[in-house]
Amino acid sequence: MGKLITKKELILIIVVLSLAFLSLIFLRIGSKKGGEVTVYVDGKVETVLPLNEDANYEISTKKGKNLLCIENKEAFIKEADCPDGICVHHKKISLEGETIVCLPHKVVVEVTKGDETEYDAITQ
Amino acid sequence: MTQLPSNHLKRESQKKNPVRTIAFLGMYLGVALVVSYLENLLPLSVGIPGVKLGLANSVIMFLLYQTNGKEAAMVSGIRIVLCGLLFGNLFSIIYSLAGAAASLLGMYIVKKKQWFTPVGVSVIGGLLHNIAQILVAMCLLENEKIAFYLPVLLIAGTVTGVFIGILVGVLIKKTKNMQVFI
Repeated sequence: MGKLITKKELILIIVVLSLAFLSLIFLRIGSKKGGEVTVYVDGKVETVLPLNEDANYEISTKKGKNLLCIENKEAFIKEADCPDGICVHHKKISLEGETIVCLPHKVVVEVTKGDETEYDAITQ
Repeated sequence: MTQLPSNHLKRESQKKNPVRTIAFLGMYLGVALVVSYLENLLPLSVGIPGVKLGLANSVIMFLLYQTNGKEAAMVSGIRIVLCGLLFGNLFSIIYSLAGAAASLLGMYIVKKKQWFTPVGVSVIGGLLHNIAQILVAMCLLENEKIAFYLPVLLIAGTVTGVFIGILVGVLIKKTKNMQVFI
């Protein structure tokens, strides 16, 4: 085929991008700020930490360590000794369902609902 | 719409020489490895894992268009294992192999049926690659929330897919009358 890009490709690209952007928008609209952070190691829950308390938690696995930090109701991984360091460069998470994953250490840090309601107080 | 690549005609008229095959495959493997390494050196941190250019895939895809797929699969597989041993770890090999297998299979089918141009083939390859990797990650880590990465990855994958597709398409055109394989 001599052509580099035809209508078919444009349609494919537009369809995929539209679907992806739409689902992204829906995810943002439907998501709430989470109350706690659940740490999974190897598929099992290791600990649950509240997001409203600043904390540093060292996740130790057989394969290495990850330093989980909670600051300003956001969670992120400050340091890790995994070979790729993707988890350290990840953006901070705070919305329900968001995760930071360290594949080599099989660590998943997930924002979960928690008992916290969204409002501190409601006036009537 | 059917086209007879001149490379095929050339190949038929020459005896298959296993030494030449290995030499050529080794060359492509070397290029793929170097490209992988270089890409690794400049980390374009987007804050989301898995977003990368995938330039090494351009080598594999170019190879796909020069051969019937088996050679591309070989170079792809060996490249992934070597890269994993050199720069990564066992898990990275598993994820990459899953992604590459799905993507190569899809690209082979789409290319054979001539549904798309190289750009389309590349985009489909990229999409399948991301989907397969997410699925494997979800299984190995037993966490379904990982699927939330899919929209962003698909967007990035489509963009890089177009870029790689254009690159490979141009390369194919420019090397149409050259001996680039066997």
